[in-house]
Amino acid sequence: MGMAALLGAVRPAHATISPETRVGAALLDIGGGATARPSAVEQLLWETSKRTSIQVRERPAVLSPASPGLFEWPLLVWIGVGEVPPLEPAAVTLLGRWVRAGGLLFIDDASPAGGEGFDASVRRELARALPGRPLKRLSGDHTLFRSFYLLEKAYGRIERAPALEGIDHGERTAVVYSRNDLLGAFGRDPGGGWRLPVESGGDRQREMALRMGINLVMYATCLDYKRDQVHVTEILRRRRWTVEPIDPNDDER
Amino acid sequence: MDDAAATGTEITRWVLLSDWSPGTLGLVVTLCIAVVALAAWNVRALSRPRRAALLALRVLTVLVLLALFLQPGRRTENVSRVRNHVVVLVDDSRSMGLPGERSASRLEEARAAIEAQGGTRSAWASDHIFDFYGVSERARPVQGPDELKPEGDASRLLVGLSEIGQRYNSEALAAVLVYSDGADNGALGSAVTRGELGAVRDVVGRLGAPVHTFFTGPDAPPRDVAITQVRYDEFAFVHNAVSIEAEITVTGGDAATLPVTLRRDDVVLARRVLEARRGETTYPFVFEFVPDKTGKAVFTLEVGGLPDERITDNNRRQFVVRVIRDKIRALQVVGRPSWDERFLRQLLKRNPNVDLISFFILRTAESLTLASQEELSLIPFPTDELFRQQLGSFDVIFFQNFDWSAYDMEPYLEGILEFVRRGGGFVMTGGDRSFASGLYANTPIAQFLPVQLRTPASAAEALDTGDFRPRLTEAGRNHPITRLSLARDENEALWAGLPPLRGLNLVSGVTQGSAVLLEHPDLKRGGAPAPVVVAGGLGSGRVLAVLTDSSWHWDFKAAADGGDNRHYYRFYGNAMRWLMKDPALEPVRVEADRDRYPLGAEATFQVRVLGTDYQPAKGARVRLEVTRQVFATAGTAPEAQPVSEQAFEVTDETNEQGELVVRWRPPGDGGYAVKVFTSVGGVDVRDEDVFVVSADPVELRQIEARRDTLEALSAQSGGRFNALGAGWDALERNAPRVSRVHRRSDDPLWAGAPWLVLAVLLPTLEWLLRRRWGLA
Repeated sequence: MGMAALLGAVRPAHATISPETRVGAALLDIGGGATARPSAVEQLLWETSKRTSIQVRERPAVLSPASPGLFEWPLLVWIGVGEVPPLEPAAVTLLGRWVRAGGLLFIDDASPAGGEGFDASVRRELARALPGRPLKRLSGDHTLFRSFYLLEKAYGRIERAPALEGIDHGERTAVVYSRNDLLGAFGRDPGGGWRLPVESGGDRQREMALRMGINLVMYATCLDYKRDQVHVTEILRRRRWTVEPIDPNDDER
Repeated sequence: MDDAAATGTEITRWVLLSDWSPGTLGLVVTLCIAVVALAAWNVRALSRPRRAALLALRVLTVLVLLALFLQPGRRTENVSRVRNHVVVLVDDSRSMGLPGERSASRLEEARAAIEAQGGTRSAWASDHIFDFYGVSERARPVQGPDELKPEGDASRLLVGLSEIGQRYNSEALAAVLVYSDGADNGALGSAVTRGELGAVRDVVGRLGAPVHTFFTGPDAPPRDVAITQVRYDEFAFVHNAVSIEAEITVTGGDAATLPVTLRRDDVVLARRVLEARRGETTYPFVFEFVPDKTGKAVFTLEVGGLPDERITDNNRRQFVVRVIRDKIRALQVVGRPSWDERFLRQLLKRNPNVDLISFFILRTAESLTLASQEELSLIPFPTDELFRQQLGSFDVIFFQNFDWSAYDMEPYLEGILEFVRRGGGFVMTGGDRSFASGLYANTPIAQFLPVQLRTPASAAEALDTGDFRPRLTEAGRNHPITRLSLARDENEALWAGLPPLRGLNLVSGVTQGSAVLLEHPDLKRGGAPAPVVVAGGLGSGRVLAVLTDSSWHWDFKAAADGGDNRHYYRFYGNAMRWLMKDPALEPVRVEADRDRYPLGAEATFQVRVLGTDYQPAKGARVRLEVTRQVFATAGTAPEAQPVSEQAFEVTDETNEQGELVVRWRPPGDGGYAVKVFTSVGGVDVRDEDVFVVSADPVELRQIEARRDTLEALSAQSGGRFNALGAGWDALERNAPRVSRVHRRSDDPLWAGAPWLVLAVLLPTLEWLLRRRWGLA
């Protein structure tokens, strides 16, 4: 059968084996944060599906941190607008296990300006779930800033902190913490307009925040793939697997 | 070593009979000098004749007194003397069978030269015992040179001399006489070549006797082509270029054109031409090739011979190279990022034995472009580099939900088919862009996939979206890929306890010879349960089909109940070992206990058979066959293809441990292959190992006579280098040792009256003259 015929063949209309195959995110239902930025995660995932090859589950699940259902979702989003009470010990244990198993927890501080209660809560709960692993500033050459778009800093709806923080587990960053209300830049109202204005940067800042969000989803699925690409040429050349061709029938003199 | 003794020998010699201590002697001599010096000072004012006369009298007086003090005398002794040994070391290596200066054999000439020294031997018989040794790889005592034959496989003169040094203490040796052509291929030859003679000096220094060498010649090199050196690594890495360096010497001939051939087993890897030029003897060659499979292989390097060449054994060298795997180089090609890709990538990255190269399609033609190229971190998908230029460097390729048709892959699919056929591993995992829904039906890829594909008319025909817990098949219970535990029951329980999967790529069936390892518990296709994991292959390659994109559940979801990802890692780890043909997973193995045997040694072959359950197969009937690679004409016709002939065959059964041990003595040198054939679960299986039996003609790699080695040997020991016919009369040697004095008599010279008269007269005369000439 000729290739031309194959190229003309029609792919089945079904897009994935199962919806779960698609990349999605679940919102952690802690202190009312899950409803603080309505439609923001949906918008981020929709933008991801339109701009990249990733197929997404646009609707996020909303889960308690103590729910075993966490393990259906390798990407969790925790949005906060203020101080939250300490999590139940079972939830802390489960969250720690979820991170160690391979999940990526994205924490977004959507507090109003001057609000430090959520930040303190985050640091307290992370210290309980992942003891001995404090949040650290992510450097500008972290894969998060180049996993799809090339970015120079941590964008969001506001500019509270120029850098992201994170916690590494093994070779990957398992917790990413933004204090710039990243998801606040994505939410749309029922009329299609943006729910919240972005501060200082206008549309460009909103676009850059979207890129930051897409990079986050890309990092969750590809990990350090982009960092490895820097080494591909070296790895390819490491193995000297060809020599000058010698035709056994040709005499060389 | 027993020494023979001669008794009753009379020895007369001068001695000092006094018994003064060295300190006293020194004091007296100093005093004598002072007395003479004082006398010289006193007579300085006299005329020259008078001064000379007085000074002479003073010196004579002092000498007479000194003689009286020292008491010289002649001592006569009747003693026993122990004869010491003259060791005659004759090189009997194979090169000594080559023509010398005059006769057909260097050894014959050496024999004749030794025979000619019969007169000297008789004359020395009272002082020395003659011991004869042959020396090739080591020194061996013989009755005489007539016993020797030029059959030694190496010339190691320094080893021989070292052994002589251990046999005799230094007092027992008078001298060592070495008859050789100097073509030493041991430490002496290389030390002289390098100009580093420290080791030579040490060995001959310990002898305590001079080493006199006799050079058989000839000075003109023989007519010969020899592979003098082959440098190679006994271990090579598959898919990595290997270098074999060879040095070929051509001596004693005119200009010639000679073919040089390198073979791996029966396959010619390279042919070259050696253009031998007059005045040039050494020709280096470098061969490079890339092994494409693991295991051992016999390599044969061969060079054509000169007309009338006497020795052709050194025109061929055989050796075994064991090709092993370094890191597994895996290529992961992903059609779109997904959780399945994310967890498999992490697994591969964590494996220290895997060099992972990933390429993900991050954006498709349908994706919106809202940024300039400079704002994106994307690179073009390097199809040509991956699937043509570098394809052969990979060990295994993963196609993970990858849509070949969207990326101009058509020209490369045949290459991937060939890659698998030649032994590459291939894994396709499920997804909406895999298998039938990836439009792989009727492509070259479909030719090696272990499942049958049909271009689907609808999604329902290609994909099932339901949840299911896959079930181990009978093949899966025994297959190494699906062995999460060695215990059969536990293995089944582990599979049953894994998180369920979601979604399945549907196929028409599986190809003949493939094995379904996991199947859908309910869903049927064509009357049979839908396959989930299928293992198969084409040619030398192995292929695994994982017909779901949710195997990551076995990793991430397994942690939900406090479990871990070890079973996910075990499954894919097993798969990698199976894809790479890990020998430990092969049902039958045979191994020779050595890669290279000296001629005449016994070889031991160990056979191990595993049953379908990968447990040792007791009582398995095994046929073992050994074939020998035979060359039509030794060394002279490298163009002629060698033939394999059966050398040995036996059929036997394995023991309780599933093992069979066979011992056999190969009849001659050459490359051998030991093959075993058996049946496991009704399927014929086989394995093969190779080895080389070598007469190890290291001796024949260097047959040109070398006078420089013998010159160095003599020079370092204080001996003399001689032409072959030189006599022994003038050779320096250690005197025999005195072991016992039977009688002794002393004849003192100082005790006579003349000495006393002189002792009085001389000073008196000096005193008289001094008075006359005005001195006090």
